[in-house]
Amino acid sequence: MAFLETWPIFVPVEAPVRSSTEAVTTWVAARWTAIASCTIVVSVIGYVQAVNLASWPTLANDDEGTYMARAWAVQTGRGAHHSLANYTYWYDHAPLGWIQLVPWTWLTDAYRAGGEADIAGRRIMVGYALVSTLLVYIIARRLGCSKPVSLAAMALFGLSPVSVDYLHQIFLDCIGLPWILAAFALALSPKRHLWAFAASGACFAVAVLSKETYLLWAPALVYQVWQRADRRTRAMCLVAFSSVAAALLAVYPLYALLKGELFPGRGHVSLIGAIEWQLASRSSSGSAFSAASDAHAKVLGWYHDDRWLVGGGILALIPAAATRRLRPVAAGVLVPALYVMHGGYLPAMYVIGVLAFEALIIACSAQTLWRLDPLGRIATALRQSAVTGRVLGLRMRSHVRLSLAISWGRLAWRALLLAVLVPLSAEVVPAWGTADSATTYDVNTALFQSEQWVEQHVPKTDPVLVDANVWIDLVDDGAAPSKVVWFWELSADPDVGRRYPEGWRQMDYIVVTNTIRVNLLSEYSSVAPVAQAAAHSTLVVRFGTGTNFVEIRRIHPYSRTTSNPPWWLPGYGKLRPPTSGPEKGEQL
Amino acid sequence: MLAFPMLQALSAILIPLAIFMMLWVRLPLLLGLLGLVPALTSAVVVAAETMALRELRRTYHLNVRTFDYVRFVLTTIPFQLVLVLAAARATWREMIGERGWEKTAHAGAHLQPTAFTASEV
Repeated sequence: MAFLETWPIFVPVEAPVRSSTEAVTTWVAARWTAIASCTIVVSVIGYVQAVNLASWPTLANDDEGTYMARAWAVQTGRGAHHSLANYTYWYDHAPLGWIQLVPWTWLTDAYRAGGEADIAGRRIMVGYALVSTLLVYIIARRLGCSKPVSLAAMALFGLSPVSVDYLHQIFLDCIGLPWILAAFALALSPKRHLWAFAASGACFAVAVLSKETYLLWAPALVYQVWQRADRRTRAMCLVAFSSVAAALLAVYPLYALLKGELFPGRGHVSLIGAIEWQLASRSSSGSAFSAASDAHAKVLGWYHDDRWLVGGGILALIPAAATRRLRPVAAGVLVPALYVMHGGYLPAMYVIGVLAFEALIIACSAQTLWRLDPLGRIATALRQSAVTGRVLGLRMRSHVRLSLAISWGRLAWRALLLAVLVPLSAEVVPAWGTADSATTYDVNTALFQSEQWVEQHVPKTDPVLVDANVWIDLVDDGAAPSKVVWFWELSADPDVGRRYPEGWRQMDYIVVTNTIRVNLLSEYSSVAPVAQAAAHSTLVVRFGTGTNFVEIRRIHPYSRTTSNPPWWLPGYGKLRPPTSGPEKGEQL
Repeated sequence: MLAFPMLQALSAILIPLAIFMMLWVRLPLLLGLLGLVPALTSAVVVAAETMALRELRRTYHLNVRTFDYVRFVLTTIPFQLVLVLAAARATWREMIGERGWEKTAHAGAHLQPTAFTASEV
């Protein structure tokens, strides 16, 4: 090919050779202020998220133990039928959430005997939380925010009382969050490489396979890809994004298909059956606008925890919608918020995805307002108009005076903004500080004490009825998974039914946590035998006070009467603690 | 890249094997899922090629109709099969040392004046 080199365009260009260390140092040198300031803010958020994480919030929710138990099943291969869960996996959620925890649980040895698996899991979740907050910074920067404002967005999200409550809990929403944020960050890639949009699609698929609710962000994300891509390559970018996302999402139904569990049928679980249940049978939380609804209570709960971010984010929709650049991210608040208003099953941790986007549009709107210069514009307009200019004597000859007048206008505008912002933050920041229950309260000791008691006093051959948080710790401590029965599955899982044909009558103990007491109030039919077990039991030992007390009760399956049912048991007890006797307790 | 025809020829063996396994072999679930990776990547490639066809139409002002896109997607698998057979045949000829040029019949059709056809654009 030597003759080609005589032609100028084929002369090979000597590319400057750079060593990889040199590349790293130049990369760092160009960003050292950002790296340093992010490190400081991330450290603060990490401290607030990690401090007291074992003791707050309460493990009253069964989810954390459930996902840790499912990650355990994947890690050890000791799940039901070597499947993706400790009990028969029935497609209640896509499995990638707990599957992706497995490398971390393995690395950190989360399932060691005597340890608390949930606490180990929460430590992993702090890592997820920090990655999420860092991605909020990156998105804010890519949306054109200055560094201080991007840092503020990060702090706003990471330190909000709602985040401090939810972000380090082992919820699928928190596992999917960094993925959906990464999808946005990649869709906002400044260089607009095709691979960035394909990678954005991949991240979106991982987010949805971690928690299905992230499907609600699809319109916003497609809008973001559409807006960011260059007009000439837009179609190609959209196809790269959507085909990669669709191919990865297809793995989930294909998995079900390969197992013969895609379509509903007799005697097996199915993906479509589970979706039908989620959409149709699961009790709707109602519209957030009707005062009696569960959704209303949950929205009020979030609002109570942090009205500034939850409420302010909705208000910020107005300036964000007015700014073209911010519209896709604003859609990431609007569509999920509309779902809340429309009604449907609303899990409490749903808020965490919306919150990140609310923090983003608040910060970006503030940035837009800060850069506006309405007074300067008015001054310029007045000056330029011949009539008003002459009348007001504003026609300046000197350029110095002209630019001075303009900058005075900008200064006045910014002073006005600060006059609003400073009292507001004086109101907000101390309000966050008083939400110190998260850093000082201890609500889980009773649970851990009761686990230790069971491990020391109950023979490993005795079947024990427990909630998921207790399940994983007892199994880690050497109990056979068949002897520790998660209360939901006592009547729901066919395997448990085969092993214990007489149901609750074959259980020896029940560890009654707040989770079990709360669910006994529900109308789900699968808790009815648990209520039976509790009704035929006597108290052995109780730990803790208040709402989080834990009782270990011995079950007497063939006692004729339930003459002395636990006082808290709906349908049996008086729902009032007795003032004397062995069951004496405190008012809830 | 130069090995591509060989890989394509390999598909000629893989296709019957795949059909055999589909019908008679029970694989562990994870292996079964891994086996889907080529199918999923092929789907992504077809999507990208469809877009390439659209680009071609826009750049060269070609008359590509919706039906052509449908035809393009539907004929992907038959077209790939033809390529696989051709590659297999070529590999076979290479193996038996037959390296002659297989010329098509020459009708001299281009010598006659015809109406505008797509090939002249």
